[in-house]
This record gives sequence, C-alpha cells and structure tokens, in this order.
Amino acid sequence: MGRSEAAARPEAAVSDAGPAAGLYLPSPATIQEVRLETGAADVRTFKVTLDGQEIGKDFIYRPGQCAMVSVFGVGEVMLSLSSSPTWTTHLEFSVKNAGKVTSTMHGLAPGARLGVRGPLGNWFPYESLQGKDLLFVGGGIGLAPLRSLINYVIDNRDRYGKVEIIYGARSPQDLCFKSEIFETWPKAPDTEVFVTVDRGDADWKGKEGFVPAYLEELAPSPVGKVAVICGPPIMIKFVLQGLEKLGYSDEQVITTLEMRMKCGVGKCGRCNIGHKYVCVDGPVFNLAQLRALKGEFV
Amino acid sequence: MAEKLVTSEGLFTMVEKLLGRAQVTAPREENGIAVFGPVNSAGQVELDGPLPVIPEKSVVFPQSETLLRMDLGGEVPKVEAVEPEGEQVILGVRPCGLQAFARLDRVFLEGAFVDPQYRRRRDHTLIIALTCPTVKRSCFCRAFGYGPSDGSGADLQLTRLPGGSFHLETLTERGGEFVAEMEKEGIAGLTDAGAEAGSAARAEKARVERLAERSAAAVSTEGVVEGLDGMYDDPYWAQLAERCISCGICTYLCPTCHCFDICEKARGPEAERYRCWDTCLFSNYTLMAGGANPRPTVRERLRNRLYHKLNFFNHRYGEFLCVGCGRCVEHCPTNIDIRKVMAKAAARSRAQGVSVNG
Amino acid sequence: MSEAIKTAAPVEGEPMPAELKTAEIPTRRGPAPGDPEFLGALRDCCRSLLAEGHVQRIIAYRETPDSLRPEVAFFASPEETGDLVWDLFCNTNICKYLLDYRTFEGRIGVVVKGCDARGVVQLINDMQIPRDKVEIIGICCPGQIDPAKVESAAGEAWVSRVVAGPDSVEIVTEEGTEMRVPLESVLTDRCLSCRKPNPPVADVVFGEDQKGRISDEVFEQIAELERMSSAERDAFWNRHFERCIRCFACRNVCPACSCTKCVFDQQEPDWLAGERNQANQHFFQITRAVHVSGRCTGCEECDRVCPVGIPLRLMNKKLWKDVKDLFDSPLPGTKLGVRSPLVMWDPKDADSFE
Ligand code: SF4
Ligand code: SF4
Ligand code: SF4
Ligand code: SF4
Ligand code: SF4
Ligand code: FES
Repeated sequence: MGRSEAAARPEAAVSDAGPAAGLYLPSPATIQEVRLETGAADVRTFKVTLDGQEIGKDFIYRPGQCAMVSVFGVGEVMLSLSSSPTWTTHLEFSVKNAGKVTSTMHGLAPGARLGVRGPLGNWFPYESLQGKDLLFVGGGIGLAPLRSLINYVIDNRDRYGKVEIIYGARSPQDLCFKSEIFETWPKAPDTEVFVTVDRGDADWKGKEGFVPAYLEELAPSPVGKVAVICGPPIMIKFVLQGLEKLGYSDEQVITTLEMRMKCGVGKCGRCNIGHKYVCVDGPVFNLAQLRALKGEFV
Repeated sequence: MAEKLVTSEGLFTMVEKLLGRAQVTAPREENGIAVFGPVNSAGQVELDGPLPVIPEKSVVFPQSETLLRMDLGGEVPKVEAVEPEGEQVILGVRPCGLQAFARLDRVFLEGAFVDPQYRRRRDHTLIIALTCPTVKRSCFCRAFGYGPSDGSGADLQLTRLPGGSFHLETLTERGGEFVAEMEKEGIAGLTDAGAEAGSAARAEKARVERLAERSAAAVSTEGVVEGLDGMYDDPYWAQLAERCISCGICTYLCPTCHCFDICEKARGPEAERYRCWDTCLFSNYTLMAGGANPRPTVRERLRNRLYHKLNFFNHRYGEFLCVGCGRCVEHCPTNIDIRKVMAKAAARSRAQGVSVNG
Repeated sequence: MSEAIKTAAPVEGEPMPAELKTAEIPTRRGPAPGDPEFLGALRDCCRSLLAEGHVQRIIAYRETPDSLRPEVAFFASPEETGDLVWDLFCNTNICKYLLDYRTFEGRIGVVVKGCDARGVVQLINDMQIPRDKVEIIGICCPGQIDPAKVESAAGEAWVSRVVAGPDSVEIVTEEGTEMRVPLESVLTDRCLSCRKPNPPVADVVFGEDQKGRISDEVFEQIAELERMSSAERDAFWNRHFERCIRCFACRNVCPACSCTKCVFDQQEPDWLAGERNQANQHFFQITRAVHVSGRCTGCEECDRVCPVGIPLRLMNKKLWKDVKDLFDSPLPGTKLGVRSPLVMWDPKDADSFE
C-alpha cells in the first residue's frame, strides 16, 4: 500500500575493505611527498602511506573510490584516490585548495600526519570495461579520479582496447599531472592524449579552446567505446551534449560526482541525489542511472 | 506477556528508583511547552500532557555528541573513538516515537555500516511507551497503518486508566527483567493486573483508536509515492517554497530526521570531532567548499525534505520516513502541511491512473 | 477602488517627520474586521490595486480547509484574490517576505496588522526596500487568536470554526457542539500586551483605531529579572537556552534580521559552532538579541514561532527598554526615516568618543 516496488534494501556498494570497528575513526597516515601540480599552486598531490597497513593487502581499493581524509584538529574531507590500485607503495590524493581542511593540507610537509577513512563508495566498472575502447574526458582537477583508472588501464594494458584522453584546463599553468599527460601516457601503447587550454600563454604551443569543442572536433566514434568523464559542472553539461550528438548512449557514459559529504557512509543525509547517496551508491554513475534519479546533478 | 497495574504513586517511586541507575528522559513541561528531556526528579515527569515538541530521537541521536577525542600534543596524534556511556531509560514514548525509532534503526544500523554511537545508545536504552492519552488534530498515525495504542517496538507500555492508575504491559524480555527488578525492590502500588484492569486498558486503547480514526478519513498514503514519482518538476514546489522560511523547525522536530554535520573543535593540543543535527532546509547543508550549491533555493531544499519523507526513503527502504506525528504540521510557522502534499500527490497519481488499489 | 473605502482622517499615533507627513497619511479607510462588509472591501481593494497596475503582487493570506491556519499567499493577478482572507488567525508576520522582492520589478502590496506594519517600516528604514515600492494595506487589529489555545480549549473535540465577538469567541466543533470562551483566553501572548495595533504608516487603512491591550506583564517580568542576582539570572536563561534547537526560525522571521549573510551561517570561520554547549547557546541568543536591539519592532514574531517556548520577548523587550531609556528613541518601525540609535552616532551621545 503506497509502497514502492523498488528494492526494499539499500543497495550500498560496499568494498570488502570498508572501515572497521570505529566507523568514524580514521586510520593513521603519513604524508611522504607533496607535489605541486599547478602553477597557481591551488592543486597539490599528496603521497600518503598508512601507518602499519599495507596498501593492496590491508587497504584494498578500486579505481574511482574515495576516502575521507582527516587533518586532525581541523576536519575531514572526502577526496578521490588519484592513485591507481596497482601501486602498492602509497596512496595519492590530488587536492584543490578550496576550504578549511584542504587549505591546511596545502600547508603540510612530508612527515605530517593525516587520517584516512576508507576506501568509500563504488568504483569505475573496471572489470566490465575490459576489452572496450575507452574515452576519458577531464577538466581541471576533474582528471584526478580519472587518473586512477587511466593508470590502472595502462598497468593492465593488454586487457583494454584503445585509450583516448581529452583533457583541458583554464591555462597551461592549471594543467595537472603534467608528466603523465605529456610523457607517460602518450608513450603507452595505443594511447592518445589530447590536451587543450582555454587560454594559452607565450610558451604554449598546444591547442586552445574548451574541452567540449575539442571533443566535437575530434569526434571519437562511440563504437565499442565507453566514455568516462569528470570536470566542472559546466564542462560536464556540454560534454554530455557533445557525446549525445556523437551517438553515445546513456549507458556508454560514465561520470563521477562530487557533493558535500560528511559521514561518507550513508547516514548524515546530505549527499543524496534522489534516493541514492553519492557516498555509498556513487560517486560513479552512468548517465542512464543518473537520468532515472530525481535530483540536481549537473 | 505480563500485565501489571501500577498506581501513579507506584510509578513515581519507580522513576525515583530509576534515576539512581540510568539517565531518564521523559515528557517534561518547560514554559508551557511539552518537551522530551532529561529529568532529575520524578516530579518533573508529565505523562498527561500533549505530544512533546522535542522528539524522542534525542536519546539515541542527541543534538550533538562527540565522535573522536584527539591529543595532538605529541609527534603522532593520539585519536580515539568515543563510546557513549551509561544506561538510559526513555519514558512516555508515543507510538509514533516507536515507529520513528524503527526508521532510525534502518538508517543507522542496516547495511554494511553500523553507526557505533547509535548502536551503543540504542542497546542501552529501555523504552517505556505510553498509549496516547489524547489525539490531536494534527496526528495522522492511522494513515501509516498503526495507531495511538500500538506499543510495538517498546519494552514496556503504559496505559493511563480512568481511575488514574496505569496498566503496565511487558512487551520484551528486557521489559520483563525491569518489572521483575522493580518487584524485587518491593514497589508499593505495583501489582498484577486483574481482569478488570486488563479490560479497562483495552477499553482505553479502543477509545483512543476511535479518536485517531477521524484522521484516517482525512489522510491516506494511497498513491503518494507514485504521484510524487511524476511531480518532481511541478511548479507546485516553487509555490510552496514561496512561503517557506527555510528554518529548521520541521526537520529538527521530526522524530525521523537524522541528518547531521560533523565538526571539529580544537583547543591547544586537545581536539574533538563531534556531530550535531543538521537539516536539508539550511542552505549550508549542500554548499560545497568552492561555493557551488546544488540546491541553491528554498524550492530545491523544501522539495528534498518532502521527497525524502514521502518518496526517496520509500525507494530506498520500502517505507515512509514520515510517521504522521504531526509536529511539523503544528509548528511550521507558515502552515506548510505535509498532509496537503500527500493529498496533492495522491490526486496526481489518480490523475495519472497509476494508483494501484489496495 | 471599492466604494466601501472612504476618505477619512489620518491615523493617530506618533507624529511623523514633517517631510514625510503628507505622503504617509492614508487617505482611504475601509470597514473594520468584524464588519460584514470588511472582507469584500479588502478583496475589492486588493483586486483593484492589481487590476489597475498599482501593484504587481500582493502578499496576504489565503483560506485553507483548516480555518485556524490560513496560509500566507502571493497574489499576482486580480482573479486570484477571490480566496484572499483576513481574519483573526492571520498570525504570520508577512513583512519579511518583502526581502524576496528586493530585485522584483514592480510594486508590492502587503496586508498588514499593526505589528507587521512596523516590520515593513523598519525594512524601509533599514534601506532594504524603498518606500515607494510598497503599498501598505493596513488593518487596525483587534488582536489575533492562537490556534493552539483554541484547540486546547476544545479538548478532545476537533475545532471546525471559531466565531469571534468583541469580548468572547464561540468555538464550534466538528461534532457540532458549541462553546464560548473569553476572547482574552485565546488571544496570542503578544496581542495580550500589544499597545500599537494600528499600522503607523499605511496607504489604505481598514477599521478605526484600536486601543490595544495594555498588559504590563512583560515589563513586570523584566523588572523581576532585573532584581535577580546575576547567578539567578544565569540559571533562568540557561534553563531556556538549553532547549534551543537552533532552528533559526526566530531569525528568519525577524524584520530586523536582514543581513544577506548572517553571522550564524558563516562557515569559515564558523563563529557559531554546531555543538550544543552552554557557551554556544548563549553566544547565539545574546548575539541575536543584541544585533536586533534598537531595530526590533516588538512584533514578537520570534516568540510566536519559537517551537520550544523560549521567552525571546523578554530579552528583546529588556533591550528595547534600555535603548529607549538611553536614547529616548521611538519604537522601531513606528516612524519613517528614523534610524536606530545603535547604528548611528551623535556628538550628544551619552558615551564619550575618547
Ligand atoms: S514529517 Fe512531520 S508529521 Fe511526519 S514524522 Fe516528521 S514531523 Fe511528524
Ligand atoms: S528531510 Fe531533510 S533533514 Fe530530514 S532526514 Fe531527510 S534530508 Fe535529512
Ligand atoms: S517549518 Fe515550515 S517554514 Fe520552516 S522550513 Fe519547514 S516548511 Fe519551511
Ligand atoms: S501584536 Fe498587536 S497588531 Fe500584532 S496581531 Fe497582536 S494585536 Fe494585532
Ligand atoms: S526559534 Fe527558538 S528554538 Fe529556534 S533558534 Fe530561535 S530561540 Fe532557538
Ligand atoms: S556523506 Fe553522509 S550520507 Fe553521504
């Protein structure tokens, strides 16, 4: 009576290495290295190890998953893991300086202590993507979660088809992961990287223009392919339109979402899009799933 | 299960005894307003008043509570999870409060992530329910398939009898243990309920059920979920939002709203992480660090609340997140009435012809 | 304009500054609430204001099936005004909705009681909305009824409707039973001590000036608080502040709270932390009270909406009393063009500037 016929149980996608006993108690972690990503210094990548835990053994995660990172005494913030699970020496978080916790993080040096709660949320369907061609479309810091999957694919190169990466940022200064986009990835077999900036500078010899326009120009065929996208809402909006024009179906488009998060475990309520919680049911959704939800996602 | 009869003096003594060994929360009057709050003498307990404004949830989900305690003085931060302590008793929970606990259980205890704070408090709380002595016009429990005498979910249930005594039913083992303990202590005025008290209690329950019957005629859940399925972009939400002042009343008074914020406080090397109530009606709730807000206006926020109560929760858990207590109906400063939203949705579903009978 | 609205004498009350005087004397007066012609005349008035393009929106009340709880409604066309209502249950102070119209192109009509009208004037004085953008349709208010008091008077029975007389009200239940209770027993607390039920500024006025009710209860309570030792006072307020759930309804309805970003909403730094401890509860309450002092119009809407019965009126009225004693200023919202003594300075101020 008046009840939905939909699942009567939460469909939480929970990793087998979810947080243990203390649901809100982070595991101790240490910063090993801090790398400046952008000229404007608003994005830094933190190489982090977990004290007394082995990555890949005690902390198992999949590309696209997130973790709650604590700066003790300041707060906690949900960050996507920008490292690939194939790297077992450390985790990486690429962090934009945007609030109290992240700005404090930006002031931390190697040796500083953090807390990590995770991995949280679902992941890119890296298993069902095997054998397919992949198109990655990223904007700005939105490349961080994609990077996890890109490196995973490159480390398992024979299991995946052709890889195309379209990446853009406001200026050459704002491009993240420069050594990867200009060196490592283009050298990987059957991998192409297309970089554009909104506005170039004196030294910029590459492409100028917005990501959605570049996508239209390159017009990658949808046949046998899945597009994985992440970036600022405005970019997503136009990229989605572009992909639709190119003939990508909603099932062929995967994105990862950002919402304000606090608990990370489906309790505090705030990250819902319709009846789904981005922290436990997401952050990865395909477009068909998103369209079926009531909510404000782009 | 066992049925007892307890005089109001006997109940008074029981509460006094309880005060020594547990934190007791009960309906209390403050400046003319009934609230659920901690009591420190049996005389503060007010069982005949109206449904308390501050809901029962605060005993298992307090307005703020510490999650972690940190010592940041040393080279390595010392961080420990804080476990709630002690035993609690909540007295005078109405059937809607019991239903609300069941909803909160699903959120906090179901699935892979069990909330340790809630689990500890829930396990250490004895629930003594009360058959509603009165039914307000704003009450619409019957729409959700239960009524003002339904004690399911409680350990014990009190029913006020016309003479002033209480009929006390034990509903769980824990409730039975409690009564046995009280009997051992020799509470004057606590006796086995005879047939007379039993039938008086049944008559009283039937009386309040009849009172609640009136609301059943006015509010129904039929077609609500289905109607809302097709109403997300309806201009109706903007119309409602026009007069909503985006305050925290409807959600903070709601016995099932469970949203919280997690904050940090640090003084010198000592720091604490705590959570406190939050609501989807506040603009900060979804405000992101960069300044973007996916729910920028009252329209999106009010709609989220109403959908969560009447649609989203159903799609996730298969039941409503509203239990019909009527608090939001009665206390909304601008008379936004969830029952009208239900009626609107039901009408929409009838118009769509998707309503399934029965 | 309706026939029922006749030219009449200006509303009595505090004298107005000369430069505003002529503009602010209402020239039209309609029948009083209680007069059988009242509602028709009020609807006519609103309808023609919309029809003739004097206003593009009217903020008033609409009938609902629950006659004790009419809704605030926003009328955009003359056709919609058929279910516009004004009765003794129009408790909600609508002045604050004007802030939603800061960028609205057009004029807004507001149907206001004495206390609401002061809020409108205060918003004008605080430069939140220009005077000429607002058409003030004032009602000399006989006092409003608290639905909760009516319901508790009716006990178990459901109230169907209430017929108000000058001194008593008749409560008719769904079962058809009738009972009569004194008007004072069901009036809202604020109305029981309302000294200014007439709109101080209006373009149209309905009804003749009301005397108001001169209960000194609030000031007696304040005097009592003043006599307490500070420890006793602390205990008194602690007991109340402890209950505050921080719903911010008091702030959201307050005509003196017009900041675009309230200090309590700021996140970095979060001046008001979420933790419900004594320090934070006090900080919130005292900051709110002090920030509105000198601009609080005494409408007591905060007190009305507070779901947990915190006697906010006591704090507000105490501060108002002090401001009045120190600066001899008129009650906020009773005069156009007056700024709060606390938001300006004067060489004659009691405190020195050194
Ligand atoms: S939504 Fe309103 S009526 Fe429903 S449970 Fe919450 S407060 Fe009670
Ligand atoms: S209605 Fe809003 S505040 Fe209440 S539980 Fe749902 S999201 Fe949270
Ligand atoms: S109580 Fe009423 S005004 Fe306040 S947020 Fe809820 S619906 Fe809006
Ligand atoms: S406070 Fe005065 S003006 Fe306001 S509703 Fe009461 S009597 Fe009317
Ligand atoms: S209305 Fe009452 S409970 Fe709400 S914030 Fe104000 S004082 Fe606190
Ligand atoms: S972050 Fe708390 S529910 Fe998702």
